[in-house]
Amino acid sequence: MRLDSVAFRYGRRGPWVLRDVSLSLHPGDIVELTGPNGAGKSTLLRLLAGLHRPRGGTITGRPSVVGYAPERFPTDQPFTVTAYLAHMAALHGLPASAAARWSHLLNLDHLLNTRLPELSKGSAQKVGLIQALLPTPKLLLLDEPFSGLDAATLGLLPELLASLAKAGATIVISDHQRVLHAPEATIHLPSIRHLHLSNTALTDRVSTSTSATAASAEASPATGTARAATASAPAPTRPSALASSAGDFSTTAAAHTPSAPVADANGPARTDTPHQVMADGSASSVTMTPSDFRSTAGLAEPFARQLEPSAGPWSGSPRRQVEPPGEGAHFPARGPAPSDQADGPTSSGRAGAHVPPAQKDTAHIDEVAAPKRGVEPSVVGGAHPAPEEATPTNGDAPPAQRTEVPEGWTVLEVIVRADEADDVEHGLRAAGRIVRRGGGS
Amino acid sequence: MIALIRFQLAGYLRSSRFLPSLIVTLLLVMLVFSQWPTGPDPVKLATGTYGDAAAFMVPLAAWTTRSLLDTQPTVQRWLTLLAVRRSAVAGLFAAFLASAALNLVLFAAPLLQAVTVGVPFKTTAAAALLAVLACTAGALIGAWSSRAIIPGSGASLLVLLSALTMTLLLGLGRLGFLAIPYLDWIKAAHDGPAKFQAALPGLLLHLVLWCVVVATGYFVTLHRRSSPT
Repeated sequence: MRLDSVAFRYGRRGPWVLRDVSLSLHPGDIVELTGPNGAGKSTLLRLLAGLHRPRGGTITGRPSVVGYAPERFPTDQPFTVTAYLAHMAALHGLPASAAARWSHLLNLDHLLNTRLPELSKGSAQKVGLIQALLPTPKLLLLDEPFSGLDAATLGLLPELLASLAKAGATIVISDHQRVLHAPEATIHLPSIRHLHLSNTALTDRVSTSTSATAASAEASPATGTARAATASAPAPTRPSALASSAGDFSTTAAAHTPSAPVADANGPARTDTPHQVMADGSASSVTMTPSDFRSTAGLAEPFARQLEPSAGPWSGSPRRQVEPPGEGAHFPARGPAPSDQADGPTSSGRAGAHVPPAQKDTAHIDEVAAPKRGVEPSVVGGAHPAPEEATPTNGDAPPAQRTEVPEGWTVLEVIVRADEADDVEHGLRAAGRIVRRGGGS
Repeated sequence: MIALIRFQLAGYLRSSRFLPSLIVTLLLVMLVFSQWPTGPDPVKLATGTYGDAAAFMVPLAAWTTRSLLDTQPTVQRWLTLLAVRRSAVAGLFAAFLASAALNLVLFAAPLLQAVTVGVPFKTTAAAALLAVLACTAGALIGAWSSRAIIPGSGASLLVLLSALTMTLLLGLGRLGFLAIPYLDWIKAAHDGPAKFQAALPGLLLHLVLWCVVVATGYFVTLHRRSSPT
């Protein structure tokens, strides 16, 4: 598919939204489209879909089967989910049951008899995704597909997209949330092409996920070694702060602390994820399993895999601990927690992991003292280790406040009241953000 | 395309947007039944009722079509368009079917009267043909005032009313060829079965040409739009 000097504007006298946009898309391409609000990302997607006709230039070679998931699925329709999907399947010449596997995969089965207007934003988004995926499109256009999705689906989508691309589909995604740059996603999407749209012009940028992907690729084989190397390591006495969540599962600052708390190299009792919650004083934490995210059956079989919402790596009940599968886990397991700290985000899974050079130049975060306020604050996303965590027992460990952040990500420290911390945390997690939680002062 | 027609009709029915059209239809049926043809020439009166009913079918079909075509939200119409490239044709056909169903209810009243008083079968057949074309013409007016052509609901309603009025008023002057010949067929029908049948070929030709031109303009306009609405 090719765009040659495409120009578009709404109305004859409207401002140009796109000008002189040239682009070639090939089967298997996964393209991330970014740009500020109002830059024309959705317009470009509609042009690619053929919904808009360019005012100038030409678009040629568009695949015959196009899937388009709109930014906001139109729920104002008098159908149940089942009826709607059956109609959409019929439009594509498919049986009504064609949507069943997708609804099952995206965990929408329990809402099949719900009327569309009654769906939540995320559920409606899933319906939009399903209708786009129904015809097995050769050109799949996703306009902010991650908005409002639950953690399990967020974790599933990158793998799903990779599978579709592998099958020859061209995928263009507008993604404001940079979900595709999350370490969990870069594992599955090693070759994202990044297009940036700004001031009516489209620029082709080098994929920002390359380094993270490379890191992942290097780190994965190292985990076995890391596991063995760290099995005998002493348990840490403090969490490695933001390190656990900022990078890839196995490539974060915890690598600087080879003494991280992996206690059992033989059986995966628990593994850490990027979405760890920093242990507060009580050392409560979320531990989710990247191995749940990673398909053990290979990229070509995400459809067959069942994802329980609660088992997704990005699922985020702050007090939940998810047991990883026994097989296929790519990450070092953590044995029984020897201490509260070990149960925290000390990221045993990252302990001893090899850190590639690409990760070594990433940003570091310094500790910021929590302000004294009338209401005791909690820190979401900040690096506020509990006082007892401030001094590592291992002299080789880096400062708790220093951690590595993948390229394209940054750290935003949010200080909230203790009573609203849970809500804020849930909201951030639902939006696909990495959250760590520190104790208030 | 059949799947899309079913989809649009299902949406129209489930949304209850058909109720205004149905209520108006039933009121018209009651009006027809309240004026049962009596007197010295009930056949002539019953034939005239055919003409009156056909005239009412135009605005009824126009409203029904606009309502049906606007049932789907704009974004859903995009999704539909990606699935069925000829969705405009399917939409118009679905609208015609919905209009025809309502007009059939409306047509039943004068048909019952005509059968009762003994109107010739040929006259009834001619009236049925006229009703089909009146329904088509109305559906096309409704399609022109749908969101696909006029995004604003207020403006589209104004266009609908204006178009219906213009197609009536133009028949009074020299630009009668641009009008829907309501006045001609009403007059012919009230003149009795013989004159009605005699005038019918010209009326039907007029209506067919009118429908072809308006339908062509509708599809060309849709095709030329750079952004579907």
